[in-house]
Amino acid sequence: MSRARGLALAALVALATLLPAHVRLLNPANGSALYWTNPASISVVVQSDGSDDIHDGSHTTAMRNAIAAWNGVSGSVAHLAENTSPTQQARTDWQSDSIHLLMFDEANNSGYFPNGCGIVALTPVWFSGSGSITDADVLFNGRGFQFTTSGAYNRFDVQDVATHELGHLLGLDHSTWAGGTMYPYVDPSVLLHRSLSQDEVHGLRECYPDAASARIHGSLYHPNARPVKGAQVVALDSDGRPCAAAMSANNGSWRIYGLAPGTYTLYASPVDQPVDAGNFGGGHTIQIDFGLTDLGSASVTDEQDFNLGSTTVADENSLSFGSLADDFPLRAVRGTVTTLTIHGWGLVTGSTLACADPNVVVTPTTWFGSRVLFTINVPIDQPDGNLDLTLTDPQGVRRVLSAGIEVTPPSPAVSSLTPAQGTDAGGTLVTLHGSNFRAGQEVVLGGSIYLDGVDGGCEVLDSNTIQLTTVASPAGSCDAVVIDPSGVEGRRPDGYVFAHVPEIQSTFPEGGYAGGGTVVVLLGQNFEAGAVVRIDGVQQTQVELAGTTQIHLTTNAGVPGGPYQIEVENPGGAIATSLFSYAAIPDPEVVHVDPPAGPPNGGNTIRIEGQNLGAATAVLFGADAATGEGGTPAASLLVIDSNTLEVVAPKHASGPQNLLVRNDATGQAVLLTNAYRFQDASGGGGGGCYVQPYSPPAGPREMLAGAWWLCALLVFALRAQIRRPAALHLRACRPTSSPSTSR
Amino acid sequence: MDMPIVPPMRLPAALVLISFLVCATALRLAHAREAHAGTVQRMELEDLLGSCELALEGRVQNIRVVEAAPKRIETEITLSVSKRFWGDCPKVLVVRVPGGVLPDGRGLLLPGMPSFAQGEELLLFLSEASPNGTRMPVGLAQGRLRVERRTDGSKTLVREQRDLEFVDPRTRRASKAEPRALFDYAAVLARLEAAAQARKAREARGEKR
Repeated sequence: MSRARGLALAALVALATLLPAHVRLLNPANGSALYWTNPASISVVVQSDGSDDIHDGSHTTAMRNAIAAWNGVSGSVAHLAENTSPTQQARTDWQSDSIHLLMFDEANNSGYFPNGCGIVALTPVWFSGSGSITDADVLFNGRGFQFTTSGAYNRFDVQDVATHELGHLLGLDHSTWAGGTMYPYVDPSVLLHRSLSQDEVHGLRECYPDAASARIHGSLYHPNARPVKGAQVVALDSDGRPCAAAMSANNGSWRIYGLAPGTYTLYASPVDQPVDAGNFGGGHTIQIDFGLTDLGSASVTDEQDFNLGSTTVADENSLSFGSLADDFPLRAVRGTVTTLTIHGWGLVTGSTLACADPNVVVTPTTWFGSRVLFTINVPIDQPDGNLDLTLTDPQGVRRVLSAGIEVTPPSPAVSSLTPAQGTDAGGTLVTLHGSNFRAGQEVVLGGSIYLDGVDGGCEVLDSNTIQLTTVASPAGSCDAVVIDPSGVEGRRPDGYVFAHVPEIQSTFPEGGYAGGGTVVVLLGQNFEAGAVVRIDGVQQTQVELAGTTQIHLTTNAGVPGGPYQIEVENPGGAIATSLFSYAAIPDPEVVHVDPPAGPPNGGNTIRIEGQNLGAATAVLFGADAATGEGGTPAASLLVIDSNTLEVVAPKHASGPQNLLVRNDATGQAVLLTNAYRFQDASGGGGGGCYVQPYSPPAGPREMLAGAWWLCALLVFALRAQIRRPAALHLRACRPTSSPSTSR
Repeated sequence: MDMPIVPPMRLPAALVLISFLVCATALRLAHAREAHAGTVQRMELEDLLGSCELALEGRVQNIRVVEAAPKRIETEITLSVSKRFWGDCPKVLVVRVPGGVLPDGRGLLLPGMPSFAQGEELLLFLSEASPNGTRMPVGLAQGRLRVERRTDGSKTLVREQRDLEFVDPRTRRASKAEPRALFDYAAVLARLEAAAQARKAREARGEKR
């Protein structure tokens, strides 16, 4: 190797030691950063079984939102590509390199969640000797903890936890920012980790940049010239907001990547509470024996790598600001004065609190020594994001809490939806009414995500109105949720119902008398109690639902003509349609079939008497009673007059058969159940019989009315039963009463 | 000197007040236990002892990373046990935890999992063994406290910060000579002993934590 190439290689190695300056997952064996070799397409799969605690499948939506949060980072090529193949989603072999699952481990099949381990979720990351990540999966401890997608009390928010764990999957370690998604701790009440802080954004840009961007670098040294290892270096933007961070390497050097052109103010501070060295994986060296140190400012242009030079850090001090007792990030709502508490040490009267953002007013209320109570006022027009707070004690000693406060808009509130029900087939225009709606918010309804301004998504019309058109969704009620980009949400529990779509499979008969009174049977599915039936838009008044598959209706009068739409509308608004015609002539009626039986070979003549039979065009034997379908046509049909038909029986299997008389022109028909019997000659027969026209199966009231004698018998039997135990009781009691009787 | 006259509290009023205070305290305690950590539950020493199957102090004699099965990289830690706070174990205990880097460079990293080094003294809170035989430090990094010795030979405890340097145990801040102490050793032992007695009593009554 030539000397020049050797020097170049040495320079590359030296440069490589700078790369882990940000908080990335490191190979504990050699300190090199872990990375995906194909960051533009990291396949992930949301396992379909979900959680035992979530029965509506909404875990998928929550995890998709988490995936979307990371995919929304600009300036990075990293992209989580969800594979939605049902075959892949059904897989549970998270150990396989060929799949990267997000799944709930409900029985500790992974072995990572034994009883009492206290682990909520884990992302095992496998890597090769080169540091390339070969596999990573997000596992939720479904056995030890409970999860929610609906804000249920004392359960972990799936989206919040998933967003954090996906950061590990991408190669990021925990963040030094108390308000970051990668902050190591979360409370069941916390939702703000759903949205990424600028630290995660810059972390991803550093790991997988899509283009060269501005950088700032420098070095940190102790007063004795030792390098400062593992110091946090934070860049504040021109508004005083923390926008990027890095950690110093073992040689004291640091470099912040992914900066937009602009002016930044930087400081270095020890990583010591609420995040400390214990929150990082192996390979990181963290020193905390120094104090908050101003590094100056830098103005960078496109792709510039600004050298801020070497800085000697300030002496350490005993102040502490922020602890595990605080559920970071603390939330400050724009446009309101928020009261907050932060724990620490040295929080004594005479100290001051300040925010680097000059538009934010921080006012300490009470100093308790180990905590401080203060108010924070963020004007309504200020941007969302994280804030730094700097504590200065009476001696002028300072301590900073990096990004510990997150500014959010007021939570959206959903007051109502119009309509509140719609078909599960989708296509319903729904308006959400409420407050604090704003562009960029998304709606979750029935497991589907509606993104603002996206085709098939939602549209934020104003701060009180959002509109969307539903997509096909599982039937049932669901929460209507509006989620702000900051992660805060408004939720109307059971705010919307996706109703079953009814379906009409047959209408019999297909026509009826315009004067009304035709009994029509609708067969289908998903008919719901309270369903309304309309013919040509006219609501029918005599409708009986028989289960979810049959409707019996007696038609109202209509206008001759058609075919008209016959509609069945469920209470949720879902509609099924079929066709029905009105005829000017009355429906056919049959009162007498003579003879009522004949040989299976047919050939015999049958006389059918009734009314309105003159227009009959078909007589069928064995047609289905409910649908009128099927049956064997008569061998011949002769219309004698409007009251009489003569038909020749067809060849047919033995047994009683329905008899259908139909007018094919109008669809009108009459069906008589078992009105004719095909039987051998030995079976007897002959003589006429009068029959009742077909009527649909009676409802329970009619059945009881027709069986009054059965009811009476039942009552009689019950009374007898009641008397009998009473008699037995008396007998059983007799011995105990014998003393008095034997006196 | 005139003393202000305080009317005696009537019994029902006292009962109501006491009940209120008891309920408020119970609610407060319940809420405190509900505090959870990100990938792990946030745990105090008493929580660690109350949840573990084994709590011990010992020295790491040996560390070996093995591939127990395909995709199962485990670190086998041999501990010389000097003290047991909860559970039974032999004086030389071999514990397997998931993760580690194999000699060929392949590795498994579990973010939040503490690391171990040969020769170091530890307080370890270990979960029950999973079916595959591995145990987890309870609360991941929280379940591992490193025993450090001051220059005078006395013990102090630090968390995972193996690489931390120069911390003054008196001020709880960094200094030039001592590793940072998060816990006073004797105080921790007392708390663990008290927690162990409380757990024993609970279990004797058939109560779960």
